[in-house]
Amino acid sequence: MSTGFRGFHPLTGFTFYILIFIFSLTATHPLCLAAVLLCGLFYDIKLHGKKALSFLIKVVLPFMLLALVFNGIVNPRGETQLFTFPWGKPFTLESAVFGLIFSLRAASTLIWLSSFNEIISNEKIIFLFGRLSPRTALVISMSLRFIPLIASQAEEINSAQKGIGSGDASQSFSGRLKSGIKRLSILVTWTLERGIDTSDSMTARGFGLRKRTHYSRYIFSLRDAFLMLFSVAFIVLFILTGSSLSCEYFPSISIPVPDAFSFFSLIFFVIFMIFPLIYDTAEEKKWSNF
Amino acid sequence: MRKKSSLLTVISVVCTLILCPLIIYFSREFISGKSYYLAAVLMIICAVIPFFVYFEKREIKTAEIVILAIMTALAVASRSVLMFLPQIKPTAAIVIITACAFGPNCGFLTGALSMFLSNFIFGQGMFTPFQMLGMGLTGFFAGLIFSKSEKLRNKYIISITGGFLTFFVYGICVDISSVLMLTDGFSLKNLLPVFASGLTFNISHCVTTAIVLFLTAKPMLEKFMRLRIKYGIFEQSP
Repeated sequence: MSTGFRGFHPLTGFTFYILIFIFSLTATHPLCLAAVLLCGLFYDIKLHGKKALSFLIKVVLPFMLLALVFNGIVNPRGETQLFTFPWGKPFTLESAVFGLIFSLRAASTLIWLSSFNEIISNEKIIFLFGRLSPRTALVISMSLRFIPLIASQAEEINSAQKGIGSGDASQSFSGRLKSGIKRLSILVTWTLERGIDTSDSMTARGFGLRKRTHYSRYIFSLRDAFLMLFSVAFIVLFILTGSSLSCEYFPSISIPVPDAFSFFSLIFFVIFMIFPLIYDTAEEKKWSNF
Repeated sequence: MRKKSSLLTVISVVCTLILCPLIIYFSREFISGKSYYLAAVLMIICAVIPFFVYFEKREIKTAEIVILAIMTALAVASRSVLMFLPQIKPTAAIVIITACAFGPNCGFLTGALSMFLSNFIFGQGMFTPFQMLGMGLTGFFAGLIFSKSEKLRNKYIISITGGFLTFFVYGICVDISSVLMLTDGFSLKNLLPVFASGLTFNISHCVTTAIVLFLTAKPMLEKFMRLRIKYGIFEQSP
């Protein structure tokens, strides 16, 4: 179902996500990072429900912890020494704070990637690449068809080989390895044959004589134009606020308090990033009769 | 033909000599956060463009497109036939053998696309561009070394070189991506702990690839070369 934010044109959705990724990968101000992290988290929870929380605990938090520890250990920069490691390197307050900032950056990127995979489906990626590079898109979509085909053939080969007792669990590792190589060889032969069949059939149907045409069911409508405009405004504000929302962590921490303009743009950023959530919720409200 | 190759040269020169320095300059001067990860991803995109432009612009036979699609699918799906041997991942081996038979360009595309597609199934992650570049370069170098000379193509040399390539090219590409994701700034000192922690994985990947290559290189290459000669595909690929 392509309802809500999914229903936007692929180009618009893709642009939106690229901007978010650039923002979350380059932001240094804690307020910016908190905004991008929370907006991403709320939208992920809206899309995935409980799965988003388990993703947060199982993947994002360990990654944050790793980034935190890694930065604390390898970064000897900074003025305020807290203590010295047994191997003689200083542990500084600055590198700890920077580690925290960096782990927030990585966490927000991971969380937005989770919703990216939900919203920008594979079909949309092929649509976008198909415009840029039609042959590559053709190769990708053909491979996507071949993967399940090869997997089901592999299952057949496996059961046949199992039937004649090759590669049993009772055999030694080298015996099982030999059987595995045999299966791989069978699979390759079958796949190549299948490929030549496909290519003959494509040639017979006139592939390559004329340019291929495309069919797509995506329509660039008014709401896409609106979101595109919104994105352009986001880029402009992002460039204008560049220095007033940037922080230095080395050699000493300086976090500027946002002035009126950057405070206004921060609010704009939040509205931009929370837009998918608002759009989805509004659409749900509109179409529920109860 | 000549006109197209000169267009390709222009594109490669623009990508490597003009765009890459521009990316570095802009990410230093204009983006306040100085994200090395972002700059690296942009540079990878620049590095990959010439391969795809070449693939797009040259004259191509139907069989070549199909073979490319099939080898990519095989590299992704071959894991399922070896379900009962979970420690062995044949993806790199298949990419290397494809490159040996069909040339460096086909090797690069097979490697890069197979990584892209396997992430299609599991969801794209922050590793994706680095894995694509790593696997693509593994295939590219293997093709560069083996596709021209018949003499070098024996199973001992292929398996040793293949293991070496998976360890250094693919392994280091992925390790560099972990460093860039974990901290800002890139140095050998930052790389070493990550490289050390990934060492066991890299060694096992390298050894299994070498074993699979040693056992399958000869029969598979025979099949591929027969296909290449019989259908006249990838004849003029550099």
